[in-house]
Amino acid sequence: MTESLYSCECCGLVSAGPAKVDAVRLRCPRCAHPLHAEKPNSLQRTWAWLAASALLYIPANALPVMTTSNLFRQTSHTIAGGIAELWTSQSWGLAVIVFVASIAVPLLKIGTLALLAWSVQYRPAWRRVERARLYRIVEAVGHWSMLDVYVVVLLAGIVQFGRLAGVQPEPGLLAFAAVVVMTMLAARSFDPRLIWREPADDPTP
Amino acid sequence: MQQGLVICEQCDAVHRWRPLLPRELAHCRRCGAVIGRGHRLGAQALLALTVAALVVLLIANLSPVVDMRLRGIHNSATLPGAIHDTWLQGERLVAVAAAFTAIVAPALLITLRLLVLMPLARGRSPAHLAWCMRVLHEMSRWSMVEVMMVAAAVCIVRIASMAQAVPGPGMFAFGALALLLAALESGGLKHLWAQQP
Repeated sequence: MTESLYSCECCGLVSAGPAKVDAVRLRCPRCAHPLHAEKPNSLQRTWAWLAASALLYIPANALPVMTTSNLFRQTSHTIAGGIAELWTSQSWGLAVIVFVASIAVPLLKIGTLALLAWSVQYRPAWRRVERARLYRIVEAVGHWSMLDVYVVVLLAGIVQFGRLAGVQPEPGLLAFAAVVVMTMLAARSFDPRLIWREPADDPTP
Repeated sequence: MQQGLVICEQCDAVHRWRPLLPRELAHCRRCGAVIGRGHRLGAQALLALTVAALVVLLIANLSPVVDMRLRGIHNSATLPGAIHDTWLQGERLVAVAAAFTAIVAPALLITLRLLVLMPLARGRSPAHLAWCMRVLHEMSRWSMVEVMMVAAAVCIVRIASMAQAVPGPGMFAFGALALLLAALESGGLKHLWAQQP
């Protein structure tokens, strides 16, 4: 049986083990973290999470994420509406930050991960170093999209003045939080090692 | 076991390992990923930082994040309070997600580090080290404290159009917590495996 080197993603130890693992579950000898030559079913899981995020992206932006109420009326706000409010109240910087975090980042994440997953199958040798760098950026930046979720949660907790003023979170917020979590899970299930595979390495993608 | 080798997590390139000087960063030759850092902080220094992070975590969650005044009525909110209100107002899953990423994950990061570092600083072997390290490895990607701090700032601006709002001590505590957790992350943990007696 040929042996392969495995690197533990938790503690970094390199250990030798059997090359093809079907029934055997390998674990790191030092910290017992599961060892994989590559993340199992990486492309399938990544596409699944991406499809789910893309689907939920629509209600996340179309449905309101919160409703503010004062003495006279109730107003529902979508994510885009919240950004417009920041812009018209002249907080240009924050409007840009929230736009980037809540609209640009999730879209770019979904698009970039889709590009990476597609390129692994159809353009395996194209610009490997750049693709690896793209993946690292996606992983690093993804959690910032939670910004708007936190903002609504905080507002719901602070703005409690009975009928004078109130904030009610709405279902769009759940869709949006789901999009953020799912894109993070998609990034996590994508195996960047696939970028470096040669077509001759093994037949299973 | 293979001593002296490091395999890049992102492209599988195998490298020969040599001890790194403090602040040295090792990059994968093929894909550029960071594959090692110089040991900067020992167990005792990390422990001190972790205790500081614990204190700051408590302040961040027990003190008001934002203080608001509308027509003479004064209201303030702590993060757990705001999450509780979100739960009560019907968005339960969102409350759970916020609680997990802003409170539970950082708290686990700190508590587990304490469990690992306290025995190590005294020269003893920590119980359940492997389990702690595995959970720590997972939790580090789910802690989003720095985002919470910016969210509090955005809140203040959103409120400012209709009422007076000022940052509370909780907001600054979240900022400090973000810095401390970042310092702990870069202080590293993997080198502690070698320090085990």
